[in-house]
Amino acid sequence: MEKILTELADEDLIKEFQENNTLEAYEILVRRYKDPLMNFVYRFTGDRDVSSDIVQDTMIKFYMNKDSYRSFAKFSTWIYTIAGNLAKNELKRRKRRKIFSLDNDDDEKSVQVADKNIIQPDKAADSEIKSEIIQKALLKVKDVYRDVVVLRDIQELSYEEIAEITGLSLGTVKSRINRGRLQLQKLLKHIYKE
Amino acid sequence: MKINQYNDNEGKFSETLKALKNLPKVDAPDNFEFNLMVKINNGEFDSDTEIKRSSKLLWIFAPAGLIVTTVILFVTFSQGNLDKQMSPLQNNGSIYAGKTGELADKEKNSPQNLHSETPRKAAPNKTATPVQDQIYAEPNLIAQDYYANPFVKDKSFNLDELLKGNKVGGGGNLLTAKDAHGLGLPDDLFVKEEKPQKSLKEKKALQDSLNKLADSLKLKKNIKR
Repeated sequence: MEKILTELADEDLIKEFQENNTLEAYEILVRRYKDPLMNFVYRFTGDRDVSSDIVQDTMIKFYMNKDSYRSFAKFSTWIYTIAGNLAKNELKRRKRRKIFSLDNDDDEKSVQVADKNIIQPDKAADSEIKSEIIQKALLKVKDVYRDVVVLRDIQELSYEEIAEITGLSLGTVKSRINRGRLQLQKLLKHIYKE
Repeated sequence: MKINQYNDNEGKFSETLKALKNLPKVDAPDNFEFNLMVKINNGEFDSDTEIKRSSKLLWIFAPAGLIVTTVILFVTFSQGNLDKQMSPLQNNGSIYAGKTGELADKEKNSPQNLHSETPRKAAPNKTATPVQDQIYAEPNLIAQDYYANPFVKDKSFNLDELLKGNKVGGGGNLLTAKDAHGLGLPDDLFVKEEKPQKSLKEKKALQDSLNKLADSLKLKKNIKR
């Protein structure tokens, strides 16, 4: 039974979970999507612990609201929509906290340090630091552009899937991706000069 | 046309896209599934972020709540103490107990108790006395001393204070000539008490009755004759 379930497509698995409340089907879907969702949410929020919590919440919401999924949609877009909404809510909360907080923006500080590192060629060559710089630059891109850029260029989803996840038209998705990339390129131009 | 334009743009951002695609994949922690299943089996469906947010809110509002509670308690208790200080009726007799006990002893020891007429309650019991019993008129100690032995002490007395009368408590403010006579003082120094004169009506009534009596006696004599 377990072997057969693992061979099933996402939509079949959720159907199995909806109709027979098969926990194995749910577990297989969790196994399939935990890492892609973690990567997506981490690139969007920039915090590993928060991302882990958000993905946990996503899976719990999936478990509790399994019946709200309709078979005409792709399961991947449905689960990405849940995760994306939770991640956006978390970012809004953080922004509110920053407004009322007396502390300075920690991200700004660390990005400034990273910018200094960009000038140093030996450090820029290091892939680990480079990826850290890219992540910092990504976090500086506007939220509305960042999520579509991450979905397209990191998660490698199609424009149609992104339009379905974000609820935007295809044209809006493409233009936002374009603007997001442009912002990112401006932020990362020092790396390419080196 | 538009699709081609976006495809061209992808070529323009090739370096950026390459950098993004080469980013290391971030995986979920090893115990992710275990924690998730534990939560589901225990029915812990409150989201982690919600719990963290509520706990943070608790930490934000806890000091404010503590301050408010402290202020309320302070106001309540300080008000209670103030009421106790201000209102003798709510006092349990602790403040005046000492004084009244002392006064009562003095009174007992005095040779002449001239204030015996003044309504007076016994000193309130410290433990559980009704509120009404705690109300009393505090005796005038100076007057009491004068009345106790006004002229014997040094064969002298403060006449001014005695005549002012405001130090004298009890049955009147002035020391009358009668009192002075009793004390062996000259009568002229004090206000004389005048006997109230009978009214004219009473006098007429008396005269009429005497006339009637005289008339009746005359009538009797005439009859005998």
